[in-house]
Amino acid sequence: MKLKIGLAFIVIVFLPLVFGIVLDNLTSVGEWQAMWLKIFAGILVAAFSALVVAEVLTRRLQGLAEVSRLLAEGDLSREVPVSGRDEVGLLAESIGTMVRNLRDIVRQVQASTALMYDAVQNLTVSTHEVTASTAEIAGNIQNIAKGAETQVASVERAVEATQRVAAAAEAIAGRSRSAEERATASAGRAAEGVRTSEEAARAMGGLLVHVETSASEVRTFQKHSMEIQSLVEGISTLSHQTHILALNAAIEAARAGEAGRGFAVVAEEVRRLAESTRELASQIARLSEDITGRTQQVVHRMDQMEETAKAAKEKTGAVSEALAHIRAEAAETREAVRQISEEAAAQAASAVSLKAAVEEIQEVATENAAGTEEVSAATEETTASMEEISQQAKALLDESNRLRSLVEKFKL
Amino acid sequence: MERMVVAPIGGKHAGWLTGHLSEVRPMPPLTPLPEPYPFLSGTAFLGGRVVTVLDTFPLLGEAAAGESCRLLLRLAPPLDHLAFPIPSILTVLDYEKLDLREEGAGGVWAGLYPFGPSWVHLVDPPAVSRELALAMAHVLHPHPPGREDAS
Repeated sequence: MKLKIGLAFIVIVFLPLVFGIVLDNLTSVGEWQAMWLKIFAGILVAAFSALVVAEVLTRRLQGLAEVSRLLAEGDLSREVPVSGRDEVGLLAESIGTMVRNLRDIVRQVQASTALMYDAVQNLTVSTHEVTASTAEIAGNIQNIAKGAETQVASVERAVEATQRVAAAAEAIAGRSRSAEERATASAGRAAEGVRTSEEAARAMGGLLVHVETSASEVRTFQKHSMEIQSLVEGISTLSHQTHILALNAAIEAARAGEAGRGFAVVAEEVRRLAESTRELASQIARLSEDITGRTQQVVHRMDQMEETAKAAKEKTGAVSEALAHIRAEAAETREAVRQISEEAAAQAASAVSLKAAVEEIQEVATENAAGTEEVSAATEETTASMEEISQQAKALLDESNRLRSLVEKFKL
Repeated sequence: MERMVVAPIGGKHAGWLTGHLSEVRPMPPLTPLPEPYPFLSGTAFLGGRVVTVLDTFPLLGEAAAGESCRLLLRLAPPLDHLAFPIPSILTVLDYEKLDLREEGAGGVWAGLYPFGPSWVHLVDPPAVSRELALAMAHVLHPHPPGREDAS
């Protein structure tokens, strides 16, 4: 190489210099000839120089061409030989720099392509997964949408039920207030009943005393009546005996014949008197018997009345006691009903609050249903987008494959 | 004027003339007979004598009086050993012999005497004694010639 450079130096620099000196020493040559010689010499030198330079340049450029051919084939593994600091050297250096840069770029592109391929592959997988997940989400959201519709319907029924509950609670509160008033009135009546029954018990006690006194007097009357009956029986017996006696007197007078006629008249009068006495005694006996019987009935009834009065007194006492219990229980009932009334009022207020809350829930549920419908639609759109992305990812993967195959053609 | 003692005998009436009676007295305790005899209730001890007490009811075709009789009519002598138990004395009537209907006579009865709308069977004491004797003979001799029963 150095020889070529030295030769080229001689041809280009030293020969023209020598030729010039020769020419300068040839004075016999005409001016024009000299000039033509000089021109010829110059052309010769120039042509020689051009040949030398062309040879040198060709050889150097051939190296660069080889490198460029390899570059064109994608072989970036060769280093570009750099000789000299001339334009070719600068060109070789520049090409070498370009090759290095290209190698770095291709390396980065390969790395990026690999990364992109992996990423696109992952993207494809992820897209499939996302598509599947989105489809699943869409199905779930549709289920949620159906559930939301069911929830709206249920909440509507709940609203209706809550309205009925609120109305029922209000009615219960009203009836509880009415029941409280009635319980209060019942307690008052029970207290009045206790007082009345106590007065009745006292009255029954007085009545019992009167009945006992009357029974005693009636028994005395019965005793006297029986004594009268006994006396009447005695009178009747006497009249009977008198009647028999008069009959016997009449019989004796009849046996006495004419002498006993006057005596027979007297005996007959006595018999008539005895008979009248017996009839009167019989009437008195019947009356007395009737009085005795009726007195017996009165005594029996007085006994019954006395027993009834005693039983009534006992029952009145029992009624007083029962009414006292009723009064106490009525007070407890009134207190319980009052508490129920308060709780019913609180329940009515809670029912109103519950109604408002359920109505809010209804609104939210309606909004949720609408939102769920929108989400469902959006999910369907997302599913469609994801399918499109999946297709695009597949295309990108194909493109990435193609790019990688292209990049793999480069030899680093 | 004779008088007639009237007594209720079941649903009928029996009458005794006062001249045929010796006394009227309360029913004394009776001594029962060792064997039952027709028309006889028993015996009673009256005034130191044993009196045969007849049964008035069967004589009028009524059921036996039992213990319902409270009075005893004792006949006058010579039949004062006979007595009739009666429940009571219904009344004592004035007796007019012309009013006696003898169509009802027979047995122990002297006839029928008008008593309001009904009749009184008037007792004939001698016939009573006779019929009692025949009845006793019938009892002692069950087939006496010519008579079937006492009534």
